[in-house]
Amino acid sequence: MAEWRRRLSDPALEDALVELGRQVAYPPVRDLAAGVRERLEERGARQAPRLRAARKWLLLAAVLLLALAAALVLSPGARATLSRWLAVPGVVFIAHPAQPAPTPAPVGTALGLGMPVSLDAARHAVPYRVLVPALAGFRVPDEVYLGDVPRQVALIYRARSALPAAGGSGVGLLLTEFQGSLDPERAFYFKGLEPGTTLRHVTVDGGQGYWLSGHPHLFFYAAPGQSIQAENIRLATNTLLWQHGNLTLRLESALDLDRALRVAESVR
Amino acid sequence: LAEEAALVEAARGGDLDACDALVRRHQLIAVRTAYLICGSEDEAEDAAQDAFVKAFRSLSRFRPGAPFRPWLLRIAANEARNRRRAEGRRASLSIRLAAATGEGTAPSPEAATLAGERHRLLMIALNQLREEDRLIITLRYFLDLGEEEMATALGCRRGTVKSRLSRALARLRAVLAAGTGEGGEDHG
Repeated sequence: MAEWRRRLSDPALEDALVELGRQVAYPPVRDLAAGVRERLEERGARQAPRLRAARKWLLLAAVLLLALAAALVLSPGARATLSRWLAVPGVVFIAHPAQPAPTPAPVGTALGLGMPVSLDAARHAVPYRVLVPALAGFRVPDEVYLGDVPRQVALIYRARSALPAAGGSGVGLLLTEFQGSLDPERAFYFKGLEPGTTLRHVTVDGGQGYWLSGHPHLFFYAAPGQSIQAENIRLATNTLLWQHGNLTLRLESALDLDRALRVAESVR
Repeated sequence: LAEEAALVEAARGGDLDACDALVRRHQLIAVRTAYLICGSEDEAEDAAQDAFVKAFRSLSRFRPGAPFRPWLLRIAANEARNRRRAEGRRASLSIRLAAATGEGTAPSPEAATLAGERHRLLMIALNQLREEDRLIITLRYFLDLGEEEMATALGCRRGTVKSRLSRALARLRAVLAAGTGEGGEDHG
């Protein structure tokens, strides 16, 4: 056999590859047409409301263009950058931060969570004990970020089987923690709750928690100095918020409530 | 080919029946291409389905008259690659071989065993190659794509397909000659 491997001629290798290709255990053939059609129709049905939304985007685009024009006038560097963006006159292509990178680059950098650090470094940098889920598969985060205000630590778990990507970013689960209170009487209200987003009161480890499903973008909390702060929900996806001691924890993922609770209740 | 161009034209105009027809024509090779990249049946199917949806949604950017299949395969390959990266399985992809069936062409049981052993060694070597090398080899010899199609599917110029393929084959040969991985298939 060793001889065969060393003395294989080009045509023999090619023949062997063709023969090998016939032996591959390909997935069984299933008709994809219905699934594809369903998704194409779904999109057609949604197009009407999208036209209304389009006006908002047009306005935003106009503001962006204006800002770009200003930068263009003011800086030659910006002009050079812009010429790279502008492939077609009048059309601006802006790199979407959520596009998967060609190498397995960190998936969390686009979320504005702060500086990428190791878990140990994060533990040394904040005045509180960093909590990590003890549930199998979540004990070691794939990425850790340290935010400056308010000393927030973010743990990222990449999407994988059984942990679907949330928000198209390659992030399967994002767990953030910081010092702050979720006192609903005073500090915690969902003024920014988008239509289609629902808030449910849930129990996390015996304490009060909040389950935001749909596409939430914002929540409010009381910072240690008692001022009210707004915080972005990064992935605009199902979000579980709860309090653990003097920490506020936030779990964003595409997981359903039961599975999110299992991860949440395992933190220690 | 004229029929295909007519289907693509109709699909561009929003004809869902034409989309169905294009899916049925190309789903086999789309799923297989994705499978050869991500090595998972479910993900290959998802990747192929996403590729069709994306292809149809962006038909407006598609050059009229150009062949649909290589363009589709390129999207499918990208989808499969993204899924594989999300999975984080970088070095451990393994394409599985079907269990030996009685329908082989080997004239005798001994010859069948020998052929099976060669296939196993070749598969191990192939699974050890870099993704791009493995992809170009499998597109050519497993899926029998022509140079033009491979160029579109891989997103490179036609002229470079040949040289990339021969470099990939040389590396496959080197892995094969070194005989690494002979001890077992488990290198995940």
